[in-house]
Amino acid sequence: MVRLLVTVAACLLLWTPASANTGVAFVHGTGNQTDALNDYWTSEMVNSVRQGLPNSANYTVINCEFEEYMWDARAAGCLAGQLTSFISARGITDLVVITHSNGGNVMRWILSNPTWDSRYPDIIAKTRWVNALAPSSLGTPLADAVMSGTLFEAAVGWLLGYQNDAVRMQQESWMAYYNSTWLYGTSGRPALPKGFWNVVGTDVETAIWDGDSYCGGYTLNLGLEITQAWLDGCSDGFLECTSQNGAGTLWFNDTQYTNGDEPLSHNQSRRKCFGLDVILRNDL
Amino acid sequence: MNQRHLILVLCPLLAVLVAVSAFAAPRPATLSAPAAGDLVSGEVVALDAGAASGLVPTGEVPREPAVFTFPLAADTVVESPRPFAATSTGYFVDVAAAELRTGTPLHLTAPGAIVRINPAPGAGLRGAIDPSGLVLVAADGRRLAAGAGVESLVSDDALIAAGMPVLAGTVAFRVADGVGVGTVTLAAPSLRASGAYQVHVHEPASDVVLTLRTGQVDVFHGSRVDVEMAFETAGRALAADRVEAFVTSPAGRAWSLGLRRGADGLYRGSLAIDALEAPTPGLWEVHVATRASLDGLTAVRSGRTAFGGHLPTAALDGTATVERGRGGVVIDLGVTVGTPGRFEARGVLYGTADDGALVPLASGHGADFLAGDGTLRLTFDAALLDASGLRAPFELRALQLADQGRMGILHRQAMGLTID
Repeated sequence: MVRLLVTVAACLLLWTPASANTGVAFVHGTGNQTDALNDYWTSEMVNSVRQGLPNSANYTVINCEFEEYMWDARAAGCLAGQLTSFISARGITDLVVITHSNGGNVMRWILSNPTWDSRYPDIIAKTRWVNALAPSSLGTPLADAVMSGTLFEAAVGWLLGYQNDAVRMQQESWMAYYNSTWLYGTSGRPALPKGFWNVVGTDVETAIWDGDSYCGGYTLNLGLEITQAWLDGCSDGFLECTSQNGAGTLWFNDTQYTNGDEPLSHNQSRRKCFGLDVILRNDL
Repeated sequence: MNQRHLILVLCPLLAVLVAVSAFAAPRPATLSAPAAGDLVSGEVVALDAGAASGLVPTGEVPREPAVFTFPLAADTVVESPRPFAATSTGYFVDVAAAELRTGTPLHLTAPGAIVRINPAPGAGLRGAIDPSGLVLVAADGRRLAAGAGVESLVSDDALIAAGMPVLAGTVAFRVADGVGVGTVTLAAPSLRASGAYQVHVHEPASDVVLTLRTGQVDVFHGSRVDVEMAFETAGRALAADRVEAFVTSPAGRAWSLGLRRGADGLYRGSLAIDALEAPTPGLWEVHVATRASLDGLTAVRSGRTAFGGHLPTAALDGTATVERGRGGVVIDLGVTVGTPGRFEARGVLYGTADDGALVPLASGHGADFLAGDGTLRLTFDAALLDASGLRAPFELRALQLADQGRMGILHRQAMGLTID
């Protein structure tokens, strides 16, 4: 009976009445962050998006160790802890989660493994949906490229410690494995319990004479021109479009809604570029 | 109101349909016989106390039972996992600094190759190469001026900023089309460092493709992983001059793998895996390097793919009890436990539609810490059943048992149970 009531209660919490207390969480991508507000998202991006909240103070910027495997206590465990604290401290009943890149995988781990951690069910219950900015759902050939190592030295050490576990995990064959076993939302798998809406970056503009290349930092985009060579014709310079839309549901391809039909490179999809902040703000 | 908001508004309707009723008496049931493609272990293993601590120390694994169920759309398509086909249009080689100074061959089969050079891990910037001093010698013997034939040159900081976490001291560039294909020599005459480097060649425009796949998604300790390699150019199989292959475990152990060419041109081999090792998160990998002669060129490729290797610490024993009534469907699955741990069963419940078709209804999960043989419960409440409009007979499909503490997939069965 208790289990029955828990399930029903979880469903009831999906409802978003006028009195819902909406909050938004920003979940960064690969890397260990201690000040993701400034180092990853920029305050102008976060401050713009949160203006869409009835109470603009209802936001949190997650800082976790996303160099670890997604299931690690320092990754999904850390994310669950910070989301739980935010939900509790602000009385959030309606949570919109905005993830970027590998942050989508960590959030998808929580959504796909509700019995893993006692904090997960309440997070799932409170989550309205996830807006996944350029999620690396099917991995990236770039992770495979940087993980390639010497045949024999791999056996004696290079394999261990050559890259962090998050990069290792985002190799295409690895993500294919985890998508088919532990994760939901990809083709041929059960859907996720909450919406996972993808924003897909389709191209990179790195022309030095094009002012649009500078949004998000031109120097940050220089390397994208060469990394495109590992990717197919539709990519944001780090992830192929198929990976970005490999789990969940397409919300939009960048040029559908961005100002001037501008594409969003992988760095630009976490920055205040071409009206992305306004699109996210209006979704709250 | 857009589509996404509409979905949200529909959910409360489920709650309105809730009816709480007593369950009928539980009935014993038997899981369907495993079919081809299912993952079923022969025996469970009992690890000693040290090894039993697993990836997460037993004391830190949650002890509380947990259940979670959520509805699925009727048009959900659930398929059995299939092994991934990893492809490669590139290769890497180890090169000593002395060789890199005088010149190392790049085997190019198509224009536009991307070349990436990095010092060995740990060398850092001491081993950095001055990119402006790189010299290319074309296959026809033309020696280009330093820096010529090198396009879109970037260093480690630009690649890292672009999301490609290369090692410190890495440089990458595109080989200009004018350099041509064939065996091109790359030299860094101004290189002063010693030690080892890796040279990676990626040929996005090449027809020479290595495809690597395993025969299984998951393999138990003592069972064999089958490996298949295709080495082709434009769909035509190549006869390799050399094939090196090995399998690595998550803890870093390696075993040589023999691959032999079949009449169909594919290379195949298999290896019994030894998963008794210090528990380490991550996957097993197959690594291959090969080369072949191709119309006067040398085609070189290396590739890698992953699979899961597991110790069968527990198994579904094939029995179940089912409670079904106006309160919904509750399924208790029997579990044989070899090594204590926290185990999870999950499965998709299908129900019968008005036209008689079985369609997905909900995804159910149940987990618990089991010190010995026990059961795991999946609950599909009346609210879900009523809201779906589906009725008996039900079927439990996509049944999976996992060891949460050790990240082991212990059982997978496409067709699990029929519930009248």
